[in-house]
This record gives sequence, C-alpha cells and structure tokens, in this order.
Amino acid sequence: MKSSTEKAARVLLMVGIFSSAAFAHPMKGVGDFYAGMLHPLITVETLLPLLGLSLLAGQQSRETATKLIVIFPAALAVGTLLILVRPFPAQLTTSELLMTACLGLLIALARRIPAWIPIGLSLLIGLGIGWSNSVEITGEVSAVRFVAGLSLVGLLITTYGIGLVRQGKLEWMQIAVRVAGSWLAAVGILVLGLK
Amino acid sequence: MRNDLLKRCSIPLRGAAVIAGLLALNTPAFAHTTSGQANGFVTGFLHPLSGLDHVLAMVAVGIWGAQLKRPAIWILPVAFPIVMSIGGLLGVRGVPLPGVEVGVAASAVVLGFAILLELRPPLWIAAAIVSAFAIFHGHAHGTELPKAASPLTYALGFVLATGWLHLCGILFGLVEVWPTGAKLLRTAGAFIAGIGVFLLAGMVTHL
Repeated sequence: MKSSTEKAARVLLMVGIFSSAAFAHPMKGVGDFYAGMLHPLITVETLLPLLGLSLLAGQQSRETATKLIVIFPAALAVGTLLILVRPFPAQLTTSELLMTACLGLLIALARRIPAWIPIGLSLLIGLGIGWSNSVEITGEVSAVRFVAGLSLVGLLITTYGIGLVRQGKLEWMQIAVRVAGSWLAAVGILVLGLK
Repeated sequence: MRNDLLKRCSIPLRGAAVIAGLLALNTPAFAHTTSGQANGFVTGFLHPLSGLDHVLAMVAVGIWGAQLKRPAIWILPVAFPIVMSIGGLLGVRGVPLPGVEVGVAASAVVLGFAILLELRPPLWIAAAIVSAFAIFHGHAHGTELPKAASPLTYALGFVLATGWLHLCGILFGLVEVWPTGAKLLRTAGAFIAGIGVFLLAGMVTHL
C-alpha cells in the first residue's frame, strides 16, 4: 500500500515530465478559465505569497484554516472587481513583498497566532493578487471564467498547503515548512530593499 | 609495506594530505566581483555556488548544525537566511560593510574549526556566530541584486542555493552517528578551515 506522500510524489513526477513551458500573458488556446488558474502561478510576485499563506494556514488551528479556505478565494474574486474602481497601482507590488516577508517570518516562528492575523493577511493578499491579475481581463477574455479559475487556484493551493502541513506527521516535514518560511522571509526582505 | 603505512595513517592525517594537495592546486575564489552576472534565477542560484568560500561556509553551517544536533540542526539553517537577508538589505541599499570578503573567508575558518574541534557552545552562541557571518554573506549577495534583470527571481535563486548547500551539509553531517563518520566530519572541518585560511592568506598577500 503506497503512502499518500509517495502517491503525491508520483503525480508531481508525472506532471513534471509532461508539463511544458507556461506563458501567462499571451495564453492563446489555453482558455480563459485556465488562464485565470495559471496566471498567479507563473508570476513569482504572486506565487510566493500564495505559497506562504497556504503554509501559514496549515500551521494554524483547524477552525482558522477552514475559514481561510473560504475567505481567500473570495478575496481573490472581490479583488478582481477593484479594477472597476481604479487601475491596479504598481506600488502595491511592494505590499506583496512585505506580505511575503511577514508570512515567511510567521511560518519560520511556527506559532499559533490570533485568528485575525492570518485572516487579515489572507484578505489583503487575496485582494491584492485579485486586483493585480484583473489587468489580464481585457478584450475577449471572459471575466467570469478568468475569475473562476483564479479563485479555484487560490482554493486549491490553500487546501493543499493546509493538507501538507497538517497531515505531515513527520517532524522533518514541520521543520521543512519552517525552513521554507525562512526562505520566503529572506526573499521578501531582500527585494523590499530595492523599493 | 605500503599497506602498513596506510594503516598507520589516521583519517585526519590522510585528510590533511588531501587538504595540502588541494591547497597547492587552489587559487583564491572571489565570487562577488564579476560584474553583470546578476540576471535572474539561474544567475542568482549560481552566485553562492560560484565562490568556494560561500560553498564551504554554507556546507559548514549544515555540518555544524548536525554535530550540535537538535534543535541546532534546524535552527541554524532557519536563522541563517533571515539574518542573511538583513545583510543583503544593507548591500542593496549601498550601506558599506568593511571587509566583506574577509568576513566570508573568516566564516569558513571559524566554522571549519568549530567542526574540527567539535565545539558545542550554547545554542544562542552558535546562532549568534552563524548569524554574524550571515550578514557578510548576505551583503556580498545583496550588492549584486540591484544589477539583476529580475531581482525577485535572483533573490529566490540565491536563497534556494544557500538552503540547498545547508541541506548538503546537514545530510553529510548525519554520518556522525558512526564513529568513523565523526572522524570524517572532523576531517571535513579541517578541510574547510584550511581552505578558509588559504583564502584569507590570499587576501592578505593581495593587499
């Protein structure tokens, strides 16, 4: 009987073998739904806080993690609507880095924190990522499909991150998560220096 | 007779012979002076790997952590990148830090001797030593960051490379559970310290 870790590794290996390069912006033939799913994953600025939030959610209580699974995809969807109010301000990329650094430090500390902190972070990150991705909804792109893809990928990453951290009973897994947090913090702090 | 001679040579002695041979062949490594090498993830990833001083110091952090056992085995690799980023921040902002290259080479010497002598200071002292050197390593990387075409992917690359080197050191350090493994680690410590001394000596002679 194969362990879930082994199965997951096999799936990742197969995905890795059969994957081809993804180009987010001219996503011809991909479809609006999958464009929405892929765009945040291939933009490092958004991928890092996404991963960080999912790992932090996994370190929190079951109740908080469950709330994040609902709140974060919703925040992504609402964030895309902000484009109707005003265009995405480029300065917000700095806040994404700040969030990445904060998330990384919190993950490295591996402490249960008051629920309002991860919930607040997920709202800010979700709104920011949604807003920044909304600039891709132009011309013939279906906003509904794009936003649905975006929200789904937010849901999947958060859920997988929570599952990975909470199901990883092995001590080394918890340590690996903290190490990953320290890396996220380091990247965020370093690039913040340029802003 | 040759076999008798080999048997009489202890592992540290053989290690010293290897070090001597390598020292004779080595030239000083200056990872940070190459201009225009910072472009993105790959260059960021290769940056810590391009300097022997960096590689040895990072691996030494992992080995020393493994020697010190829990919780140092993971606290040191967690603390290092965070403090390194603060050093990097200084480098990015152009804040001068005197003797960066000397600090990086000295880190190999100090950490190498710590492994060789199996020093087991309190955790906070070990963390302070490693963190102090992390500032120098971070500053060295940070000065390259503004030249990068994509600073974020460059930073991601060199943080991942640093973590990978720590992991190599930790995995190597796990051989300590065997008596021969402990000797092997001490030999590695002597090797790292020797290279560090050689690099420092090279800097002094270049002054």
